[in-house]
Amino acid sequence: MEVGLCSLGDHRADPVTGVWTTQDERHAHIMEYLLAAEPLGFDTLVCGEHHFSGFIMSVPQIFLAWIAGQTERIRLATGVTLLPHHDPVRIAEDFATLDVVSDGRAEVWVGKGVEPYVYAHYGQDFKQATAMQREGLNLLTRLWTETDLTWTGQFHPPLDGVTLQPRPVQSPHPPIFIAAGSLASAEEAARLGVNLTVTGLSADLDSMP
Amino acid sequence: MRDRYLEVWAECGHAHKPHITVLAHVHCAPTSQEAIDHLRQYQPPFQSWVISKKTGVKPEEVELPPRITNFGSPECVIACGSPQQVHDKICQIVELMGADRYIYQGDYGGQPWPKVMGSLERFSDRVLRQLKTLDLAA
Repeated sequence: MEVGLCSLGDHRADPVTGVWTTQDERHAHIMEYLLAAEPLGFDTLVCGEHHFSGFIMSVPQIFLAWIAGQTERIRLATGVTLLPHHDPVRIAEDFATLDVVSDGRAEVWVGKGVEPYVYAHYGQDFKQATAMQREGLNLLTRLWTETDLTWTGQFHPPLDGVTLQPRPVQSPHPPIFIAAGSLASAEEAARLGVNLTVTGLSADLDSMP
Repeated sequence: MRDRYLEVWAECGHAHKPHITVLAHVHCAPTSQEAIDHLRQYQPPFQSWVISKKTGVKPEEVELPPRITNFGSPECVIACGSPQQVHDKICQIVELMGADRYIYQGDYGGQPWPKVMGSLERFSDRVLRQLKTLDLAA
């Protein structure tokens, strides 16, 4: 079995002592933790994305690119990329570039997030999150696998004969996972033919076979 | 969730194989009691804060389920304990979820940094290699 290491980058006071580290100290700790993953034997490194909250990691692909330059084999994943908040063209470019600089180690885990208020800050309607994610995934995979792409959708402006650059290293494209917190999300991942990531916190161990 | 995912996957007739990754909290201490005594102070405040952000309920009013707070019990989904207990809990969760990959999350909740790194290094020394040789097809 493969085993990975994750930091979501929350920045909290120690609840026992009430003491806060500074952001600089917390970032130094996060980077020490991320850099330890490959030498300790982990197979995958996962960085989170949160906005406007007590998490101080908002652009995981930058942390992963930094790690890519200092490692040789560990896979580099986002846990998760909040696809509805982003232009899928830019996400396709970011992760194709991460795939190039890491020589084919990028993974994209996408999700809608668990903080509905973030949608308002991005000028978006949380009720449209599933539709935005579905459209984003469609565009992402087509940009990675097709050239001279002409495309129309509901949320993103039309594209006319575009070819994404750079092309990702992995074929047909970097692995995609949907982070599912509900049965509906897991069904959506299955319908789209996308891998699944789930949090163990949702596991009901009473249902063990 | 795993069963429904695989059922819909099969109905859709995808040619490629699905992969399932599970991510969960871990704290690995020299003994079970040390792990429980530590995480009892850090997991509930963190989990209440996270749930508060999702639901809008005040952190102090969040009611956490036993599967998040009863560390070391069979029902608990958090791998908290001695190296052997952490290994066994991860195997239990991986089997339940039908996962091909497990992600260790141990850097959270304002825990003292030496505790975070101590757990990580202990896990690497005593648990990681055994998990990597786990034959999921068996």
